[in-house]
Amino acid sequence: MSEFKIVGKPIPRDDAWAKVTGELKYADDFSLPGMLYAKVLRSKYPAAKIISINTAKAEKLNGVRAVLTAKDVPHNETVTRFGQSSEVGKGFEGLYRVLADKKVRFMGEAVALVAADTEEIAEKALDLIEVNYETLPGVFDPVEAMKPGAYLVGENNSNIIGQFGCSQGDIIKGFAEADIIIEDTYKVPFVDHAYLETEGGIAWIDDYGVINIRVGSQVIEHFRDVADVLGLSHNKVRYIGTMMGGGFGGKEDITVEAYLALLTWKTKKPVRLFYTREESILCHSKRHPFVMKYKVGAKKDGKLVALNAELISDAGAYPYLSPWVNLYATVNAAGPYCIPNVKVRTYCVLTNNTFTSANRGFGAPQPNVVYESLMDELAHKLNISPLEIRRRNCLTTGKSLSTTGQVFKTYVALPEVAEKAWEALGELAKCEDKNRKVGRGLAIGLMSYGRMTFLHDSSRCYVRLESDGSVLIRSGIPDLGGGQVSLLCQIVAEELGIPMSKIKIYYSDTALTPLAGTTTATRQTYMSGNATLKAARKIRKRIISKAAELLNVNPDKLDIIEEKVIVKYNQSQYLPLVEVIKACNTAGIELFCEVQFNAPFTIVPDLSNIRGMTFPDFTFGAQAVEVAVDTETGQVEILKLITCYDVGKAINPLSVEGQMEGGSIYGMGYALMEEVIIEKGITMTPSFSEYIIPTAADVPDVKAILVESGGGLGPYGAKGIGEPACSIIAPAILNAIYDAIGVRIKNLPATPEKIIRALKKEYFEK
Amino acid sequence: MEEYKIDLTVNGEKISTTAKAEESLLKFLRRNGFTEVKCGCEKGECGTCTVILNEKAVKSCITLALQANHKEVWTVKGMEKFELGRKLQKSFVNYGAIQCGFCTPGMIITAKNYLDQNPIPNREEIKKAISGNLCRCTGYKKIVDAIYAVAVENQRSK
Amino acid sequence: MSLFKYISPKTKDEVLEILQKEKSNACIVAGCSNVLPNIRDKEIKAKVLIDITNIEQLKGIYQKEDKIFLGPLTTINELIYSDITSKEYKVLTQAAQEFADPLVRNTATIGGNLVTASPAADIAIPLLTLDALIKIESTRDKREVKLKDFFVGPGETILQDDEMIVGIEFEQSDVNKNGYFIKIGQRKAMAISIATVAVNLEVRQNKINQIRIAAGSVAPTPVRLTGAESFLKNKEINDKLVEEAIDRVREEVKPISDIRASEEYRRYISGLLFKRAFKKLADSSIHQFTN
Ligand SMILES: Cc1cc2nc3c(=O)[nH]c(=O)nc-3n(C[C@H](O)[C@H](O)[C@H](O)COP(=O)(O)OP(=O)(O)OC[C@H]3O[C@@H](n4cnc5c(N)ncnc54)[C@H](O)[C@@H]3O)c2cc1C
Ligand code: FES
Ligand code: FES
Repeated sequence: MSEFKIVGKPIPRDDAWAKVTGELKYADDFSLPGMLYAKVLRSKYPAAKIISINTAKAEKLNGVRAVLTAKDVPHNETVTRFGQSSEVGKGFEGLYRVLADKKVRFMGEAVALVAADTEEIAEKALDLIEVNYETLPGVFDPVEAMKPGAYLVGENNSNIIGQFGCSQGDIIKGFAEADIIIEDTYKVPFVDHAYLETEGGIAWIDDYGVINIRVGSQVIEHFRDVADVLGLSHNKVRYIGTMMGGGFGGKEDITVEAYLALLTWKTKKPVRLFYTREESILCHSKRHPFVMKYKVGAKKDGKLVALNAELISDAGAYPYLSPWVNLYATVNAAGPYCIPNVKVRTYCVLTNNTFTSANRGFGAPQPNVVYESLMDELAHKLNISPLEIRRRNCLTTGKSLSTTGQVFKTYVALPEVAEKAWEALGELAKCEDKNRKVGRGLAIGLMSYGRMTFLHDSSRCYVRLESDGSVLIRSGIPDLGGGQVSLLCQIVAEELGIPMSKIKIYYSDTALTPLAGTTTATRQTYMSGNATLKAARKIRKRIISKAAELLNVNPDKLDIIEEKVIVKYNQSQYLPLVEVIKACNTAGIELFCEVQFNAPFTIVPDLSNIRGMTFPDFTFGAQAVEVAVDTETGQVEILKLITCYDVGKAINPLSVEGQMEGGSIYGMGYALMEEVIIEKGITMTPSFSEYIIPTAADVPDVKAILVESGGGLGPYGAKGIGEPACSIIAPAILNAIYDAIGVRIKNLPATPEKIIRALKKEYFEK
Repeated sequence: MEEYKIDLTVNGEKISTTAKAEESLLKFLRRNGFTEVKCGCEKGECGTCTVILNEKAVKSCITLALQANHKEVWTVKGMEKFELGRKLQKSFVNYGAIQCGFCTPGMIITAKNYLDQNPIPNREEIKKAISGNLCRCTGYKKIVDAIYAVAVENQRSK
Repeated sequence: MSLFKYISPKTKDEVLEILQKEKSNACIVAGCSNVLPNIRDKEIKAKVLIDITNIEQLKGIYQKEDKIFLGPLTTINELIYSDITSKEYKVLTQAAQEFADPLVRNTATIGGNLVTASPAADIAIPLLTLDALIKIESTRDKREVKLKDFFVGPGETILQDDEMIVGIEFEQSDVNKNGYFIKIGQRKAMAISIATVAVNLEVRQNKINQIRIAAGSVAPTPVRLTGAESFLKNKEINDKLVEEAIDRVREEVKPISDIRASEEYRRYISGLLFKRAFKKLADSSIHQFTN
């Protein structure tokens, strides 16, 4: 199709009006008669033995309907999955424990559940549960936890739960050829998703004995995991996913669902459970902290010859998605560069900290900080411009990823995006104040979209054209706020030539909508977009062929525009769409279908040396920033922030820009202010006055530049953008700080204090 | 101790009921069906619960329900009764100022209250005005665009 | 079922009566920005909430002879929008503009800010350099104390169980009209101060006639830095003096380390903020002062 009607237009999203008017019902905006209120008793200690739990007093409290501990959970220990249906083997699926049993592994771990008539009673009941702990030493640093003889967090004889590697060439030879070698260690902290809607939902048992869970979740396929916990058949648990108030990977693991299911199962009543903000920060997943030891070697002309990286990540107390995240960090560790000799080793280690799992970027933002800082350092040392050094080394079409050797068959928008971003900075800001120094930084990167190919990913969609020309879509797609649902409507509107207003979509329901897979891994535009396109095109074809018959023209001469099947180049010759639908219905032609779209499938790689295709495709981007640093206070102000990505095709430019702008600020928080401080297992920042994210007053007007190569695997050549958008801004900012004041921050976040300590060494050392 | 009688108007409608002494205006409103007022932190630190109380935008989680006794409260659902409210809603929709939408009800209330007092602000002033309303999704750019567009329209029609 | 009793008196005297009866069993509620989070965290032991927000007597900003009077229910935004404070007492409006965010500023009061007695109470800092007087009443007694003698420790003041603040007053003097406030937080809005400094200065013939310096988040309570003040008093202004004063400020503050910043950074930054505030004021007082 050459000319688009609605694809590529900045149209309002399908869900926009319901959101501005306050009509939309999020997970917590719904209640049922007789609903009980649940609360979770959480461990007071990061590491302790549970000697005994006495729930008798709590049970006796008036209004308490259930008190559950590990012994009440039919299958308290299962494995962590995130919706995959293929077998991936032991390396990935770790222990998922519903309630702490015998031992607690992190502060905030769920120990007992209460359901009561009111929230106040439930809270009181928590106070009445007596848990006898015997504290244990615990281990809080992944590097310590790796050492032989370290305190063991779990039941296995090592805290290391995953090891991954990639290599190509020969690094010894590579470094020997290098004219310059840089070695350094970088650290990044725990980060919270900080979506404004905390985790929560409501569950009830319907007339047929099915447990219904209405919840904000990125992975409704967890209905299977919840059924396994209860020992029920999978079709006895139903997820009804709501529009989420943000997800960013934090609603990718099971949050409240197993608790809700257990409580509603025991009490036979509807149950509501919502986390407070403190609870959310304390005990839902975090982004992995990493300690990253890098060594890179280059020739005098800046050409990279070798890279050696050792990454150690803190998985926290349970595995969740740590192995996957670490696999991705490994694949991403050499960035978008051609390096002949590469070796990467990644270790994923349990500690008694809050567990870590998916967080927007899924293991990419962490190594990106290092390799992009090192590229900048090389540029400075070799006196090459930041843009030029990237030009000389970046991947281009037909080249392969330096870690796994995966070949890029479609257009690689490097160095194009870097050039555009750098140029867009324009003139350097003038600065009168002698205590304010201005500087610029650049970073480039790549990030996959779509799940790992050995997960054998698929998405399904159902589309039905009604007799009045309206359309009904059913897709299991969860929407975390990115406009995933609206996108499907737009595709159908395009293909069937109808306005968005004539489309009704039902989404995110495991009983009634075909499963579309998870809203994770920046996969929905690609996966569900393609499934929807496939379904819409099937119906389109049937309409067109019927119309061709009626109009007596060749089908390729026809298009559907504004609810008319028209003869192209002779728009006066047409049939109203409803007429054609009528004719199809009379002839018994099916104007509905359910289809499945499959991603490319590969086998599980050798994890010690990952080679070949592991992801369907990648998105390439660059970010450029200009900062002003106050050399007396250490405060950093971002003056300009440019984000430039090859998005393939911007199906809805407003949504794509939204991801790029929002992603930039998400990453700016990572660079400058965000950190969940966990000291000896104790979270020190359990509120929004302690866990600081940027406010409107802190941000620049992000400028998004869209490159549309059409080279993506998604519908109309689209690529994914959600996660890539946030994954390289942090190093761009660090590089700009260096440019401004000559200080390189190697330990995020780059707070004013860290900057001043580096700038005023003489003052602080005295 | 019993609950206390409370009379107030919400979005122009009279409500006569009871509230607990310590109940926040946020909990009270949500309990009475005004679920468009969102709860993101219950500590005054996010702005999702913003409502207009006697012509001022306030965080309802750090206001007692009983402090709204005999007063007027407006939530985002009442915005369609005001020209400025409708303009803002439309502008948010058209400029793509909405992603997950969880901050939106509070954001629109803050913007409405601010523009009522200060109809033609510049972008920097808008950023300060909404600095008590966090948004994790948009990076604020499109929210500022949407509010600024209404300000520009205000200026034109002046 | 309410956990608390709620009373909303119409007059100050009613409040005092209730306080007299209930003592520590009562908790005054003003803007509620501290009280409600504290109720939620179960940190309030009192059982009676006295909502004073409907008492007109406790509101407003007036000029009273040679003084400025602030009702304890003055909201932070009123400090910004009042002609009286915004024109002549910039040190107050500067602090108000850095306070929380525009929404919290609509309800949070200065009375509440002082009684909270947080080391980071932002409005306390300019009120200290304005040498404000706190008017306190109970059914027993009426008394006035200097703000610098009001704070006892973190969260603690000299207020007795049966007392309340009924007003805050400061002089309309030259030194009070020449003030400057600076705050450093982790971000530009909704930030709890890492450090704040306010300075009020009166210069005569290049000599410091009067100076008051106060600092927040660098000691157990908001503090006046009287040591640095007396060091500077009557001295001629020059760069060396400023450098020495910075050291005095850094010596005099007693910060702690917490999640927001270390003791050392706070010490460093309070000296710096002093320098910046002082120079702003000195620059506009005497034009010959260089850099
Ligand atoms: C999101 C957020 C951001 C904040 N940011 C800041 C900030 O930037 N800077 C800052 O300084 N503070 C800040 N605070 C803290 C708080 O808002 C202030 O301390 C505020 O001034 C308290 O005033 P209030 O009227 O809300 O007090 P309330 O919560 O009503 O009362 C606080 C205390 O004062 C007592 N009290 C109130 N009035 C009187 C009176 N007249 N006589 C005797 N006792 C009285 C109450 O009994 C209570 O103990 C913030 C709070 C929040 C929630
Ligand atoms: S819920 Fe009120 S400010 Fe967050
Ligand atoms: S749109 Fe999600 S928080 Fe603002």
